[in-house]
Amino acid sequence: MLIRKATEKDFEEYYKLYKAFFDFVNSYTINKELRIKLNKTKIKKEFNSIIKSKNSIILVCEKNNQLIAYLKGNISERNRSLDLEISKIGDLDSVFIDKKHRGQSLLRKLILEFEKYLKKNKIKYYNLSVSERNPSALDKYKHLGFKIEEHQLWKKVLK
Amino acid sequence: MEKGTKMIICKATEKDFEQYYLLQQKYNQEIDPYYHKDFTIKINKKEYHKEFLKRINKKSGLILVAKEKNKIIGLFEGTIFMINKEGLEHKIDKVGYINNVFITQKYRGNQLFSKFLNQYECFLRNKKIKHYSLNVSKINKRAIKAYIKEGLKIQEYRMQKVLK
Repeated sequence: MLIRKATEKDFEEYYKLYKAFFDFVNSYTINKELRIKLNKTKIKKEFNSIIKSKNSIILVCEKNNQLIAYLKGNISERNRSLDLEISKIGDLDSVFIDKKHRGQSLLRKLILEFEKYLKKNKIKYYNLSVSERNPSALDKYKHLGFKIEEHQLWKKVLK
Repeated sequence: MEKGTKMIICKATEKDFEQYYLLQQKYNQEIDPYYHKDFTIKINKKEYHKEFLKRINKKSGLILVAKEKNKIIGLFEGTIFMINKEGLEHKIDKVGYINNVFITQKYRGNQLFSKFLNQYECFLRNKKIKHYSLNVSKINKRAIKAYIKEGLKIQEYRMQKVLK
């Protein structure tokens, strides 16, 4: 099993995993209007730009010439009008492990690899979002050293 | 609030900047302890002024101030942003987001918070925006309670990790 940076050739397999991730996210999203539909052409464009970028990364996990997991993350600039000690921060955008390959510490391995990339770029903090309806993911991230910082609340004002 | 004193809520204008800025600083001082010390906010006044002027004229934003005897006692800022990005599409393309709400201590518990939210929700409805969200520190229990009372629901957690 190999964890490495994604290349252009990985797109089709990456897209299958990426789609599976959003199918999973949608199953947790209460408001139908906020469920996500993927536009493959635009995602391919974004994928090609990420793999060439210094400020974002897609890591893939390969086993027997097949992708079984991915992690997508980036480094973003903080608001310039606020003089913050920290000018850049990491974001773990999404991570997904194929169902058949769970329970093999792949999440930990991908996260450690992402952290290497962040440390190389002198990033001290990074964030991720987890659905309130996904306690199992919440527990896993707590176990990996994450702490809840903020709650995100939503309200519907029009039917 | 003193009896008979009229309090008004209106859109912020350029003239409000100095008072708005001072109140924003007070707000930051209040929320700083909720976050790691590396995230302590020091506002760059010049940059902040530039952004303030842009923001008060934006059609996709609403900056409100509550005043009593011409003194700003509360501020509110909400925006509208596009959610369809990087190939991820929703049935709706825009949602609202609350960036800032602050009411000076003396005026808390006077329904000012509800009034700010009502005006923002009206603003969103007029623009046919169906949903809005906001982020609040998990330590700020009082604010979380107030938002839940206003009909907001916790849907996500933002988690953070410090790298050593």
